[in-house]
Amino acid sequence: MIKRLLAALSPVVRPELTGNAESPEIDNTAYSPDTRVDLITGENDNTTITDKVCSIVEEKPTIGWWGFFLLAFSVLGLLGVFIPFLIFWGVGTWGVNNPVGWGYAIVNFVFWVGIGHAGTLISAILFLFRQKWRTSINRAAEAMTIFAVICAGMFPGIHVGRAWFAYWMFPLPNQMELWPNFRSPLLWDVFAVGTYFTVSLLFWYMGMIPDLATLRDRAKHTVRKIAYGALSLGWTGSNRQWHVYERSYLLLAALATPLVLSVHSVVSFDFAVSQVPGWHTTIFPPYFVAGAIFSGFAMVLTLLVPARQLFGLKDVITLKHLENMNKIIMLTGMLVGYAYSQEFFMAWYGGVKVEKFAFINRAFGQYAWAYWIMVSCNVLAPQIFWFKKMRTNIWVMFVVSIFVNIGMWFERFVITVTSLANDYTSSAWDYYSPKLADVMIMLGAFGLFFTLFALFCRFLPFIAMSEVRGVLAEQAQSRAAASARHSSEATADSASASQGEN
Amino acid sequence: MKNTQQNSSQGKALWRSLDEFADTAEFKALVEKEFPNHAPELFHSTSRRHFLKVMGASVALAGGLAGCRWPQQQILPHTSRPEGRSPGVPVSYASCWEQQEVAEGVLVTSYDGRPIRVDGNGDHPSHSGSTTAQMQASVLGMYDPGRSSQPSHVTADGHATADWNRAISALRTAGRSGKVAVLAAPSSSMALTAMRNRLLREVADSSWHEWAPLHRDSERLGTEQLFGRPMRPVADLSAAQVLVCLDADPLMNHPASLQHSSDWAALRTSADDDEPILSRVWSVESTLSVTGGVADVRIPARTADIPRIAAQLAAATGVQLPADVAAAVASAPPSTDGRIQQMAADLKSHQGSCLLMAGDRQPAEVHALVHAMNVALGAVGKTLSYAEVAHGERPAHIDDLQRLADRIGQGEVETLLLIGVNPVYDAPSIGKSWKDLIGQVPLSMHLGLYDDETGGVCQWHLNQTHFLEEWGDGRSWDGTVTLRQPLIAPLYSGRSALEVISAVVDDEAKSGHDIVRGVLQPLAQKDFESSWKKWLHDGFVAGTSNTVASAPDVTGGWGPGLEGSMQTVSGKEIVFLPDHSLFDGRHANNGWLQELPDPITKVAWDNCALISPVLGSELGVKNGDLIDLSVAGANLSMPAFLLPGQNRDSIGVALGYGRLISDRAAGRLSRKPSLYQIADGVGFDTYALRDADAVRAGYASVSVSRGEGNYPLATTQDHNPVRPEEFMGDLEFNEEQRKIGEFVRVVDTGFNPDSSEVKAQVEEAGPHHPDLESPWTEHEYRGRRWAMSIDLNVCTGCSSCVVACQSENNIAVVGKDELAYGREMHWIRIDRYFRGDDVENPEVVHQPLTCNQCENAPCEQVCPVAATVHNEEGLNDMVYNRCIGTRYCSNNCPYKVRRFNYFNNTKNPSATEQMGYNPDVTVRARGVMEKCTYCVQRINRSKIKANNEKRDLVDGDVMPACAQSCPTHAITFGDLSDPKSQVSLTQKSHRAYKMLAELNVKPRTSFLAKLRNPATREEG
Repeated sequence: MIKRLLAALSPVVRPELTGNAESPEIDNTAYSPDTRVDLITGENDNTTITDKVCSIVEEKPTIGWWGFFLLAFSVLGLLGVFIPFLIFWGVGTWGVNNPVGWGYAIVNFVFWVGIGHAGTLISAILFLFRQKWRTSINRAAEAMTIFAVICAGMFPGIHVGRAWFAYWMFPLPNQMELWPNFRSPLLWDVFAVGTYFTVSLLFWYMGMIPDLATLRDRAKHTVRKIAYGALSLGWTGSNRQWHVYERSYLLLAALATPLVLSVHSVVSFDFAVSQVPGWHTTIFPPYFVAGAIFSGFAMVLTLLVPARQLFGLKDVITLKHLENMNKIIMLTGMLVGYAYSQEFFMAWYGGVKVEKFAFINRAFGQYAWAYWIMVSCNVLAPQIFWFKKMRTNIWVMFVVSIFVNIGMWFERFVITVTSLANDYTSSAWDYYSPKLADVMIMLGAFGLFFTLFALFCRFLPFIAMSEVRGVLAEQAQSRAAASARHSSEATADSASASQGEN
Repeated sequence: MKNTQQNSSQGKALWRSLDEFADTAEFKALVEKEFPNHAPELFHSTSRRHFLKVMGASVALAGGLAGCRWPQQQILPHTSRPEGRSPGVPVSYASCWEQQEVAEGVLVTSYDGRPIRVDGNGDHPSHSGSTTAQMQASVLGMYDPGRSSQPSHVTADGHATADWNRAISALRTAGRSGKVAVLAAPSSSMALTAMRNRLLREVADSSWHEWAPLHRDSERLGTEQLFGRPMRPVADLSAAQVLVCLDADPLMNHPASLQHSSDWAALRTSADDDEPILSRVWSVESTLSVTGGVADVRIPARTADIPRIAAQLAAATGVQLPADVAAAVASAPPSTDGRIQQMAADLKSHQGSCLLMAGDRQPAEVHALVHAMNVALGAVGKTLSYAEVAHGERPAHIDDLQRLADRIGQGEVETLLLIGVNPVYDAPSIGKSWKDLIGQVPLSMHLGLYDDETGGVCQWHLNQTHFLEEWGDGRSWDGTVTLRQPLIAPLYSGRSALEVISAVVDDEAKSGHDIVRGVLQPLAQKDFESSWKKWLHDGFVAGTSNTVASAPDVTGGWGPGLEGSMQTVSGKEIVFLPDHSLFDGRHANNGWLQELPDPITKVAWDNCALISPVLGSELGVKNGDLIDLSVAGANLSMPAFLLPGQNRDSIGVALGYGRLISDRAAGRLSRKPSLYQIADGVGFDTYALRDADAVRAGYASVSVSRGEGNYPLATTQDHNPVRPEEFMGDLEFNEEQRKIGEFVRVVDTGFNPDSSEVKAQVEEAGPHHPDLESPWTEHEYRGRRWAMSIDLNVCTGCSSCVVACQSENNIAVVGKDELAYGREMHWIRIDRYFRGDDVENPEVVHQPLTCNQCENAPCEQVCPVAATVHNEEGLNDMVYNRCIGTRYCSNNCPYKVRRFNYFNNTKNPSATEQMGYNPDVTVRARGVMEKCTYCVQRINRSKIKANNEKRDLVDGDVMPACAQSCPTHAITFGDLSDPKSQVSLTQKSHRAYKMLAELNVKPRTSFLAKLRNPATREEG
C-alpha cells in the first residue's frame, strides 16, 4: 500500500533520485565492538556526496517541493491576515482573560524556543564530544533552530497589548527616560533569546562557508555566482583558511554550548521566578532544558525523515543517525517524565496547600485532558524506542516524533494555562479557551517555519558537505585500517595455527 | 461653508439657543446639498457639534459656566471670574435624588459646569453621607446618549419630531378643555403636590392617579389598620440588638437603606468596644437578599408562608390576636422547627432594644402584626418612631390603576398625561393591556426620560429633564424637606414634571425654579431670600421632619385578610423582586448598573429565575438552562440560577429587564455598550408574569418545568464550574474551603464577644507558616504610608463602592460578552462566598477585593518596562503611558485585581459621555493594564489643598471614592505613619488580618474578620 503510494508519488519527487527512495534501507545500526559502523552508506565518495547535496540546490525544484512550499506559504499567509487583525483590534481577539493573561502566544513562544534547542546542541555539544554522526544532520538542525527562534521571537512582539511599543523592552537609549526593568524575567528573555539567536546564526553561517564556496564554484547562473560568491566570503579552501576556520568553529562551539543550557533556563524563569502556584518551582530550568532538547530532536526527526526520502539522502542521513536521535528522544523523554513526577512529589513534600492544589488540579481538574495528552505523548510514546525494531522503523519514529511535538506543545499549554486559570484567589478562577485568532496565528507560525525550511532546502546546502567528506575520509581510513588489521590477524591466526600444528 | 443664516430673515436677531439658530430649513437644505448622506445625528442626537450648541445655549441661558447656580437671566461674559470659582477646581452643590417617593440628599460634584459625581449629603439629618450604586450611576444616566432628546408627535404620516412650543400649546389646550387624567409616578415633592392640587382644582373633570410597580402600599395600609391612620415607621437600627426582618431588606431594598445600613453598622462595630455588643439579625425570606446575606440567622421560607410565621411569632411574643387567628396559629404546623420560639425568646429578652420589620411584598396584615409586636415589645420610642405620611388618603396603587382604567373605559378621559411612568412595560393589564387602554384615549401625552414602551404608544412623547437638570424638592424618609437644584441646563432642553403641569394649568408656563420657590415660601422662618440661600446651600430645610413625638395608639384591628393569609397554599410560588441594580427597570439603560454584578448571584447584564439547588436537581437543570414558568396563563422561558439559600418551593425573579426602549424589534440584539439603547433585549421581561393579583399578593402560584436549551449568563465570579465534581473528590473541595477560610475569616460568637477569643480564632483561621524573611533589604518608608482597612463584619455586598469607583476612575463598561469572557474592568471585585454545609441555607460572606498595594508588590518586579512602580508613600503606581501590556503583572498578582484593556473600551464615547468623565483621571487606552490606585488623584488633590492652606494633612482629609460611598463605612483609609489615624487603629484591631500575608507581599490593605451571632439549635 505504502509502496504503491510512493510509486504514485515518484513522478512528483525527482525522477533520478526516486531510485534511492525505493531502494531498501541499509541497516547500519548493528553494533559490533571491534568495528566502527559506516556513517555514510552506499557507494559514496566525495564526488557523489557533493553532487547529491548540490543537486538539490542546482536542479529545478520538483513538483513535490513546490507543493510543500506553496502549502507552507499559504499557511504563512494566515499571519498576514491575523496579525494585522490582532494589532488593529487588540489582544482581545485572543482568548486570554483576567486570570489567564497568557495563552497561546506564550505557549507557542516557549514551544518554538524549545524546538530551537536541538540544532545548537547537535552542532556545538556533539561537536565538542566528537560525535561524528552529527555531520549529516547538523546543517538542517541548525537551520531549523534559526527558523524556530524566528517563530518564537515573533510571539513576544505581538503578544503585548501595544505591539507598537514592544521595542521598549530593549535597553535603547532614548529621550523618553525609558529604561527597562532589569528585575523582570521577561527582560532576561529578551537577552537570552537574542544572544542565542545571534550566536546560532553566526555558527550556522560560519559552518556553511566552505559549502557555499562549493556551490559558488559549481554555479552556472550569474545571479547564483554573485550570490554564493558574496556569501562564501572569498573562501578558497587554503590550508591557512581551513586552519583558522577550524579554530574559530571550535571556539564558537564552546561559546554556544552554555547557551544551549542558558536560553531555556532563562525562558523557564518567566515562570519559575513568579509566584504563581505551578510556576514557582526550582526544577524548572533543568526540566525546561531537557524538554527543549526532547522537542528539538523530535522536530529534527519530523523534518529529516521525509527530507532524506525526498532528496535521496538515505545513505547520508542513515538509519544509524536516526536511531541515535531516537535514543536521545527516549532519554530526554524520560527526563521530562521524571520532572513531571518530581513536581508532584515536591508539591506533596513541600506541604504548601496551594501548590498541592495546583498539581492535583493540573492532573484531575478542568484541564486534565491536556495534562494526559501531554503525559501520553511525552512519557509513554517514546517508550516504544526500547525496542530496536521500533527505533529503526522509519514510520514508527516519524509518528512518535509527531506525538512528541504535540506533547511538548501541550506541556507548555498545561504549565501556562492551568496554573493561571486556578491560582490563589478562587473567586477569580476562570476557564481559558482559544479563539479563532489564537489558532490561526499558531498555524501561521508553522507556516512561517516550514516556508523558511523549504527555502533553506532549495537555496542552501542541506548537508554539511565539507564535514561529511571528512567523515568519508575517516571512514575510508578506518576501513583500510580494519581490513589491514583483518588481514594481519588472519596471517597471525594462520601462523599460530601452523605453530599449533607444529 | 458660507453662513446663510447671516442673510436669512433672522438677520442679527437675538436667538435663544444655538440649537434654534442652526435648525433652520435653509441651513438644513444647505447641509443636505453639501453632504448628501449626512449623518442625521448631526442635528438630532448628541454629536460633539450638537453638544457644543446645546452647551452654548446652556451658558447663554444660565449666565455663566456654573449652570444654574444663580438663575439670573443676564448674559455675562466670563472675562472676570466669579469670586471663589477657579477653572478646574470642582465645586459641589446639594441636591436630592428620589426613588420610591423618598428623597435622598446628595452632594453633586461639578467640574466647570459639568456634574461628574453624586455623593451623599452628610449634613442631611437623615443621611450618613453615603450613596447607593443607583445614585452613583445617575450621573451616567444624565449623560446617557440614549435619552430622548426632543418631543415627538404622531401625525398622520407617522412619528415626527416636534418642538416644545407646540407641545406646550397642546398641553394648554388640553388643560382648557378639561377631562385630563394624569398617571404619575408617586413623589414626595411638595411642589408636585401643589401642582397636582391646582390641576385637580382648575381643570374640569380631571383626575390624578399614581403608579409605581414597586411601592410600599402595604406598609401604609397595615399601619392604618393598626393605628387608624397611615404611619411611616422610622427605624433606628443602631439600637436594635435583635432585628427581625420578615421578608424585609432594610439594608438594600428600602428607601432608607442608607440610613439603615449606617445605623446597623454602627451597632455591629460596637462589638469592638470595651463593653462589646453584637447584634443579632434574623431574616425570614424566600430569596437571599442583602440583609438576608448578613443575617445571623436566616430562615428560608416561602413568601406565602411568612404571614403565618408572623402570626405565630406574634402569638409567641404575647400579642393579643383575634380568636380565629389565634386558633389558626395554634393549629398551624410548627413550620420552622422551633426557630420561631427562639426568635420570640430573643425578642422578649431584648425588650426595648429589638425591632421587627416587614417587607413591602407582605400584605398589610403582616405589617399590622409587625407593628403590634413592635408596640408590645417596647420598640416604639427606642428603636422605632413614626412619621406622618403625606397624602395618606390615596388608594393603593393597583386600585388607582383600576380607577384610571374605569375612567378610560367610561370615556371620562379626553387627555391622558403620563408623567415619569411606564405602564405599558411595568403595569399589569386591567381587563385590557395598557397599550390598548392608552390607545382608547383621544389624546395621550407621555413625559419621560426615554421614548420608551409607553412613549411609543402615546401620541406625544415629551422629553423629561433628569433630576440633575431640574428644580424640585422632596421629602426624605423622616419627612425632612430636601431641595433639588439643577447642576446643568437641560442637555436636551427637556422639561420637568412641574413645568409640564404648569403648562397645563397656567397660561404662561412657569419655570421649575419659580414653582419650587413659590411652594416652599411658607416654610421660611424669617426673610425668604436668606432662608432660600441657606436651604440651597444645605440641600434641606432644617426642622421639617414630620416624625411624631409619641407612639400612636393602637386603635384598629388586624384587617380582614389575616386569617385568610394564614391558609397554607401548596405548590410553587414565584416572587417578583426589585433588581439590585435596575430597581424596577428605570435604570435599564445605564451601562454601569447593567454591568454591576448582582450582590448575591454575581450575574450581570441579565435577570434569571432564582431556584433552589434542590429544585434544580429535581428539574435536572444547571445554571443557565432555560426553565418554563407559567403564571395564570402567562408563560416565560428564562434561565435558571441555582441559588443556595433559596426556598425550594419559591422561585425569585428580578423585575426590570427585557426593556424595549428603542424602535428596534424585540430579540437578542447585540449587547455591546457602544449602542446607545443598551437596555434593549437585555434579560427577560418578568412583568409579563406579574398580573394584578400578583401585585396585590406579593407572589403568585407558578408551574415550572424544564425548558429547551440554555442561555449564557455572564458572571464575575465562578465563571465556570470551579470544580468539575466528576474529576475531583472531597479532598480538593475541603482544601479549597480551607483556603477561602483564610481569605474571609468568620468568627461565631454570642451577644457579647470576647475580644481575646475572637483574636485567637482570627489567627487560628489563618495559614500557618514560618516567620517570613525577606531575601533582600526592603524599602524603607519614612513619610506617609497609605493604607486601607475593610471591615467584613459590616460589608453587606451592596456594591455601591464598585460603581463609585467606576464613576471616580472613568472605568469602562465592556458589555455582556466581554464580561462573560472574564474581561470585566471593575477595579473592585466583591467576592461572595457561601459558608456552611447546608446548601439550602448557607451563610453569605462578602469580601470586596481591590489592589492591596503590597509593599513587596509581586507585580512590580516582573514588569519588563517598569510601568508599575512603587512610590515613596507605598502606593503601587500604574504608569499607563509606559505600559506595553505584557500582562505579566496580572499573572503574578495573587489577588487577581489587575484589569487589562483587551479592546479599546473607551473608543468613540459620545459627546455627552465624555462630559461625565472625571478629568482628574486618565482614560485608559487599549492594551494597557489598570487597577485600583487608592484614588491617588484624591490623595494629591488633598495634599495640594493642605499645602495651599499651609497645614499638614489630617486624618480624614483623603477619602477614596469607595470609602466615601460605603453605606456601612466598612472601608477606612488613611496614613499608617500617624498612629492615631483611623486606619492605624483598625489595622491594630483584634479582628484585623491580611489576606495571603504568607506570600510576604506585605499588603497595605487589612481585612477585619466578620463576627456572627448565630442562634444555635440548643439555645433558647
